[in-house]
Order: sequence, then C-alpha cells, then structure tokens
Amino acid sequence: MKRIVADFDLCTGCETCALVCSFTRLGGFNPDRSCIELNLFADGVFNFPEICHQCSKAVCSQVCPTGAMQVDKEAGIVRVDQASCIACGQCEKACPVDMVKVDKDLNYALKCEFCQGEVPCVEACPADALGVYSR
Amino acid sequence: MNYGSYMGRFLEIDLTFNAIKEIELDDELIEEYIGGKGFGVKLYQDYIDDSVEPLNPDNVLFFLTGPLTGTFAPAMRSVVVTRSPLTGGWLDSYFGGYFGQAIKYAGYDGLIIKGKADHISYILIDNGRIEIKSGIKLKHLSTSETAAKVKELHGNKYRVASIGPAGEELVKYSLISCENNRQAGRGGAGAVMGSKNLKAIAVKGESLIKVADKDKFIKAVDKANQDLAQSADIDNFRENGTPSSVPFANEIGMLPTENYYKGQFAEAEGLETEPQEELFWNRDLACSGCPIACGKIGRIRHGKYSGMLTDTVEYETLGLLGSNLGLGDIREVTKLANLCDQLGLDTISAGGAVGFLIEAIDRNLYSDPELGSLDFGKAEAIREMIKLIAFRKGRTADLLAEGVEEFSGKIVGGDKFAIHIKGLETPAWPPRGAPGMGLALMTADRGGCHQRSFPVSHEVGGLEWQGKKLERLSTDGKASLVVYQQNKLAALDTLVKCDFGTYGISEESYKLMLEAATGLELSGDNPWQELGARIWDETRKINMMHGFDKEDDTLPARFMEEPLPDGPAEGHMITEEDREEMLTEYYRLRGWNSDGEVN
Repeated sequence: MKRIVADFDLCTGCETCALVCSFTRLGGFNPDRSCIELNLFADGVFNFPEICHQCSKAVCSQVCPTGAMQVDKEAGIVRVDQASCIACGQCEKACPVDMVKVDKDLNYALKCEFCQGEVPCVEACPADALGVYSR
Repeated sequence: MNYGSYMGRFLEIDLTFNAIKEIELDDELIEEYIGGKGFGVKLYQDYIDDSVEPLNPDNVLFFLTGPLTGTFAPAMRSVVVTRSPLTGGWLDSYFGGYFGQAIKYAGYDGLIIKGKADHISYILIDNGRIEIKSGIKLKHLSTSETAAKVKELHGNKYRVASIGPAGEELVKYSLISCENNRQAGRGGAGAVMGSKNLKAIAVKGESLIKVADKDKFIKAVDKANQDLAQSADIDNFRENGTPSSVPFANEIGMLPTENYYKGQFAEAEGLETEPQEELFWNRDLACSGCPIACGKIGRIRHGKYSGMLTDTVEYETLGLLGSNLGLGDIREVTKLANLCDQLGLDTISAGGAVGFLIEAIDRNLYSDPELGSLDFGKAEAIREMIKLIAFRKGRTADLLAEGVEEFSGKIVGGDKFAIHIKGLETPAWPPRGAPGMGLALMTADRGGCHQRSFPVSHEVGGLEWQGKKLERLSTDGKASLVVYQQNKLAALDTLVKCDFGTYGISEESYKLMLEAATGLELSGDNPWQELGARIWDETRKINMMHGFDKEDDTLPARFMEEPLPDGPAEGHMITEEDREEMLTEYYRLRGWNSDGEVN
C-alpha cells in the first residue's frame, strides 16, 4: 500500500494542499471539503495534516454495505466506486482518522484516491512537506 | 452574468433589530469596483454619511473579501472598512489569516454589520444559518481566549474574528484579531465592533469558490508563484522577516526613537532579526494559500516569560514599542507586543500614545502620581500603562485611550510633539530624511500610514524611478512616485493583495489571475493605475465629506519644525515650502484643484 504523508516539521499550515485537493476533486476551492485536514495543535505552533492512511485492512471498506469501498492491492490504495456508493455514511463513521466524507454535492464518499496516480497536492506544497510513502 | 470566483452576495446583519438580509452583488459593482477596497468605497458611500458618528450604532463595519481571496492565488487577504473613531474619516484595515476565506466558504463576498446588540454578543455564521448569541461568557477575554472559547462551544471548524478588552472599552486604537495572529490593526476598527456590543464573529461554510477559466487560472497562479520564487525581497521576508528592516532604518536615521525625537537608537541591534530568532522562532507560519510563510512562531525558550507563545514581532512594532519607547531588549518588546495583541490594541498607535505621554511627563507638562516611574526604557512601567489603557483604568489611561490627537489637545504645547496625521498615530518611518515619505504619509487616505505608498526604497534604498535615481533630500520626482504607488496599491487592494506579495508578483500576473478567476477583462493601457486613481478620488471624496481638507494633508510639527538631530540626514526637516511644492504637484497629477479637492 502507499499513502501521502505530511511532515509537520515543514508544514506552514498554508492549506495549499487542501485548496488544490478541493479544486481538483470538486472543481472549486474550500479546504473543509478536501481530502486533507489541517489539524492545528499546541495553540497553532504545529500543523499536523491528516490524509487517508490507505489501510490494508481498511475498516471503511469492511463496513461498506454495497462493496463500493474496495482495497485495491494492485494500486496500493482504497478506492470508492462512485456508481455503487449509496452515500450511507457507514465508512465516514468507521474511519478512525475522519478521512472519508460523504460529499454533499457529489453524493458519494470522498476520500484520497491519489487522483488517478497524480498527486497534485504533493506537487503544490510550497514547503515540500508532503511526500508519498510506500509500504 | 456569472463572475466566477465571486460568491454573488453580501450578508447584512442588523444587531439592533436582529435582522438578517442577503444582498446580491450587481454587475456594476463588480465591474467598477472589483472587490475589497473597491467594494468598501462604494458601500461606505451607500451606508455612511457625515452624520454617522464612528462609535454610534449607525456606523457600519464591513468585512470584505476580493475575487482572489480563498483561492490558491498566492498572498491574498481581506479588509475591514468603517468610519474610524480615531480619525473620523475613511478606514480600511487589512488582515491575513483564514477568516476572510471562511466568509467566502460560507457563501458571501462580505459581511455588513449594522446597529448595536443590547448586550455583549457574538455572531455565528454556518453557511446560510446565522445566529446572534449572548457573549457574556466572553466578556473581557483576550483575543485568543475568545477565539478558543467560541471554538470550544461550537467546534473547531469555525474561523473567528474577535476583539479584546480594549475593543470592549472603546479604546480608539483597538483592533480586530483574525486568527491566527493576524489583525485588522489600524484605525480603531475594534472600537467600532465594541460599540456594537459585538465581541466575536465565527464563520464556516461549505460553498466552493469556482473560477471562470480553470486552465487559465492555474497558469496565472503558476506565473505568480514563479514571480515570488524569483524575488530576493520575498526570500528576505521568508528568511529574516520584517525585523531585518531595523538595521536599515537605523543606519539611514529613520528609526523612531523616544517619541520620534531622534532617528537612530543606540540599542537597535537588540531589535534585529537574530535576537528575536534566538528568543522564540521555531517554525514558519503562513496565511491561507500563501507560499511566503512570513510568520515565525514559537514559544520563548527560557528565562523571563519562558513558554509564552508568540508570532513575529514585526518591524513596525519593534519601532513603536521598542526604539520609540527606548527599549532595546527584545524579550521585553516581545512581551509588550503580545500584550497588545491579546488586549486588542494596535501596537503602532499604542507605542505612539505611550511615547507621547512619556515626553509630556518628561517636559513637566503632565503629571499623574499614579503612574510611578513611567519613562523611556522602563519596560515594567510601560507594560502596566498598556494594561491600564486597554481597560481605561484611571484618569491618564482614559485620556490616552482617545488617541494622541485628542490627548495632546488637553496639554498646553502638546501639539509640538504629538505624532499623528489626521488623528492616526504614524508608523515607524519618520520622514525628516525622506520628503517623499513625508508626502506619502500626509496624503494617505486613512491618515498616518506607510502602506499606501512607500517611496523610501527609491529615495534612500537606491531603486530607480522613471529611469533615474532620486536624490534623497530633494522633493524632485517624489509626487509622481507617490501617486503611482498609491494608485497601484489601491487597485491591488481590490483583489485583496497582501503587501508582501507585491514585492514579488508582477502587475501582469495579478491581472491574469483576476481575469482567469472572474472572466472580467481589465481594459485600458494601464488598468491598475486607472482603477487605483478612481478609488483614490473616492476615498478623497469620503474624507472631504467628513471635513478634511488641504490643511489636514500635513505632518506633525516635529517633522516640520525640528531639524533631525542625528543620522545621515541630520539637520534636515520637511519645510512648509517642501510641503507646498510636493502637494501642488501631487494635486496636479491627481487632477484635483489647488485646494486638494476632487472636482
């Protein structure tokens, strides 16, 4: 499996990753609807961006009643099949890091799926705080 | 017509009547005024006339975004516009951070706040759901405590703008704090918010900001980011921050020292970048969407005040709370800056006010036995004075909370060393050794401000203007430079740009980003100059409506009657003849009459 990881030591909290994400996935800007969460800890000194861990034993996939959420071992990520997702929100409830959300406009579960192999958020980060980690 | 990155409406909240209204943006407003400062000019004229006193419920507080705010266009901010309680005139006060962006995500291009709540309150905006809540639990909390409390009550997704105790007490130079550590600092917008019994505004939302042409927008933003990457000035903001201006200002004799009496400070070295870096800098912090990350945040590592969380102490603050108060110990200046931020006081005006008070005491023109050992260089007494001002505790604090102009009027001979322009205490660029800076300050639309034009880089820093170097102490060529800079910056304040970004991003890149985001087309040979000149005419009309005239386009007596006693421009000042000559040329270039009136 592989995942996008964030280095809090470099992150400036600028949200560019989240802005790029929502622009790419939804066609517009709003970091709160992106697949990245910027968590401000310690009174705003440190930023700990959270991005889907692409679990190999993905609980979101296990609770999905329609099989829309699948671990794609070949690609190394967890994918959502938009056509079979019924937006029931079970994945959203089950995810331990809140990295799946049923998007209100798309009406299916939105999570990081590596944008067809591209990683525009990683490329856009002005602080080089994001990278791809494989395991 | 669809204009891409606009949300298409303002939210108007009347606190007196608990009334909410959405107002659609019309095509003319967008095409003529673009956003930010431009919207502010039009709304000000629609909502505020001269009968509206600044701290009366009828005054209106506008929080305005621009068409690029909330996108990934680099270095964008938002603006508060209102009638200033300090100057009685036009006020636009800019802030970075995340609050302005959240207004757009909630579905609005701006907030219009009218009236007055019957007791201390705060506003929650969650998409189109608006609630006005009792703020009793927030009373006298600091700015950051207020933001934290609102989030504790309603969730971390909210972005919060708040006032501190100083705003609640209507201190005329109180600020609005927009998380994190970003303030609409100048001119007393915090007091206007306080006069409405409004302690905080919290905003969140799920709207998407769309752009008119995605591919073009990506290309335009890439170009702007390249501009920034190639700029040495931007590198300096990122690496050293504005404290790196301290040695420059001190060397050229423009570092305000002891209520602007001098232009050089013997302990200036203590205020430079390095001592601050060693004291607390830990990591870079950026506003939303900004690759510059000028903020340097951390906790004081050891010794006195250890553990105190603080952001960069910027040059202006170092000048006004440091050298201007005779303080060269960065630890003490950092503490004062932090105190002002938390109490909700503008550090520039607070430093100016305390500096004036100390000089009045030193000249035996004013006394108050309760003030103890207040003097230049006395950190503890200065700290106590600032706390008293924020709560208006005691006779002196209550007087000083009105600002230098008003306080000085109560002291015989006070006008000789009262450092303000149009009622706004001046920034840390005293102009005796740079007449162009003098013109910039005397003509700035919100009063004593260095952000509308900053000719120092040309006059003293060696940059060329119209193909030639300017002579530092001469008035030649200064008016045209000031007009050009004021027009450019006013135009870009419609977007709303960050000042630092303009050091890297070209005018062409701003134009391309705006056009791609909105579908608007800027016409004319020099669209930013034309737009800026139009806006500058309108803010002039607003100030004329409030009774300002040529007599107010002037400098403090200290800069025009007392030769500078030190530094490379020793012996120099800006004479009445200099002023007259520069203003005549300035008015001519603007197409105003010889009395400075817009025809």
